[in-house]
Amino acid sequence: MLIRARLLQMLSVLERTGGAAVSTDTLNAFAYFANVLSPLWDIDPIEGSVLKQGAPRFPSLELELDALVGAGLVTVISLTQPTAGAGSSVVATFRINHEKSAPLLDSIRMLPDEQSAESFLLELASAFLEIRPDRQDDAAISDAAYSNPKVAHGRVVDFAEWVSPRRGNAAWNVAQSFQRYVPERVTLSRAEKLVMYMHLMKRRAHG
Amino acid sequence: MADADSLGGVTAEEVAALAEAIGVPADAGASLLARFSRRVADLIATRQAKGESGQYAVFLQSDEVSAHAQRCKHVEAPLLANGADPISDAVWLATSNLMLSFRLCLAWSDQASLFDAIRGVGLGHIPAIVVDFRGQVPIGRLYRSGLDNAHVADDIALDDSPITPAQMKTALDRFYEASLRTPLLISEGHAMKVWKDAGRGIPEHRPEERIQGRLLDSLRGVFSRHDLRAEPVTDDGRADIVISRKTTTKGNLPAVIHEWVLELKALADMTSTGNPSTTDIPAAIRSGLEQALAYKQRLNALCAALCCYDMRADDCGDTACFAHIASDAAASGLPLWRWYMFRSTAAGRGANKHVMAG
Repeated sequence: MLIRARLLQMLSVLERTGGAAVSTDTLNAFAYFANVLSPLWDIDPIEGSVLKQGAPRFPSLELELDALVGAGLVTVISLTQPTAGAGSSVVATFRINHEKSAPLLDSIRMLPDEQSAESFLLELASAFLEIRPDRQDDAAISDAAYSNPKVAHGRVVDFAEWVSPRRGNAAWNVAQSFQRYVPERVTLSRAEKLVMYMHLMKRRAHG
Repeated sequence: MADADSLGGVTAEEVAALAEAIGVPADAGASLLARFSRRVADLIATRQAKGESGQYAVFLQSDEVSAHAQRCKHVEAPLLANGADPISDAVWLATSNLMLSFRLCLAWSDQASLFDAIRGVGLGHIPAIVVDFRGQVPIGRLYRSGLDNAHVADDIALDDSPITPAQMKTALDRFYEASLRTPLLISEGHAMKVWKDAGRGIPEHRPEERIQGRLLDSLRGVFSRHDLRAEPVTDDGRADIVISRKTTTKGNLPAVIHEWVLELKALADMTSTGNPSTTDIPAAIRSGLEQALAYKQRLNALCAALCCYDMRADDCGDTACFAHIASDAAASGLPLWRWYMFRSTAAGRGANKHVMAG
């Protein structure tokens, strides 16, 4: 249920910030950054680890997305058959159904910590959507934890499962390390660290 | 230095290079509305440099832009933010980052019919920025709660002129009137609470910090060509806002002008735990003045002000509140500003009647 609520919040902030329908690729990449960077806001990640295989994917999130579509809270905007050789799955884009989801989102906001989660996700969405849609997967692959050369392809990237979501999470460490490179009188806020981190991911993904 | 392993696949050199390249991001932490205001201001500046002419432009900020666009005939304008195309004499509907934008095909001939046309398609409730291009310099007004509430509006600084004390005071007054004056205003829009129990005069923990966050966002929307930063709140309850502007020197070198330092103080006679406060309020006010002056000097800022938010039971008035530091502040040219925070809407109404009768 927690994943479903967070998923609804994620779709809501992506719509509010960028306005465009989102693909499952975009959603997975966004969810990945939401998981690794949530400790900046003192929020527990929904998932603490992910299989390192291609771009990060969260099967449980995709299952919940199907459930939200079934409940009419999310609308399928488009279905596209990829060109030959690009894989067999149909590519879908989604958008939150404002009318139906608004009361639920209002209720979620009333829960402890969820208002803070919304402000975190809004900040993340604003920075994430600066990355070109066709490079958002690359950005997630470029993440400090995911791209750690010590974690081989096919192994699990652990950023909060058995390790500390802070000290044991390379993304958190990199975000904190920006403080060393700003003028002495400046104390970076968590939002500034997050935005700088996502700028770094954009730079890595865009090349 | 951090252990290289702790940074995973990122190197310390990359972090350093990125920090040097982008500096401290100006919009981080801003609300969607403040971001929208700043993006629109950037667009206006770009268009002004390209000789934009015309009468008005309206920018509507939507959280559900695709649905809102269906209210009337529209044309997508995916490159609006680039500033390559004229923007005046049109109504634009966009996301906060202008990433998805539409020009709305509405019929209007003057100011009144322009506002009516927007209200007529049911978009009078969403935030709007109206820009008047008829003068030498464009004039912007921000309607935070839409054109349906046209009486609630802030002037937006669209040029790069320094912020005058009058402009700053107006912006602070507007913030107080719209967000702080009574407990009801404070609780609107899921905003962070300042009172724990307003009726009993009990503030939340570190009320300065809560006021600071909301004020910062409000000012970001108004002074949309400036960079605004909040310095962390310290144990003595002090909170600063620094407002600066990027420029270039005569030698064409990048420079930053610190225009304003705002020193915030919440004056409370109760603690957040419901006990009488032992804080020496006059001493705290004097300390605020000294901090403002010291910070102004340290940053070589053009202006500074001490802003007191008075949460005490009795409204003693500005003169009595600042009597012990008035001459020192005047000698330093530092304005002393104070706003009284009513503990109930009824008390606020009563004060209005008193002012009107007086």
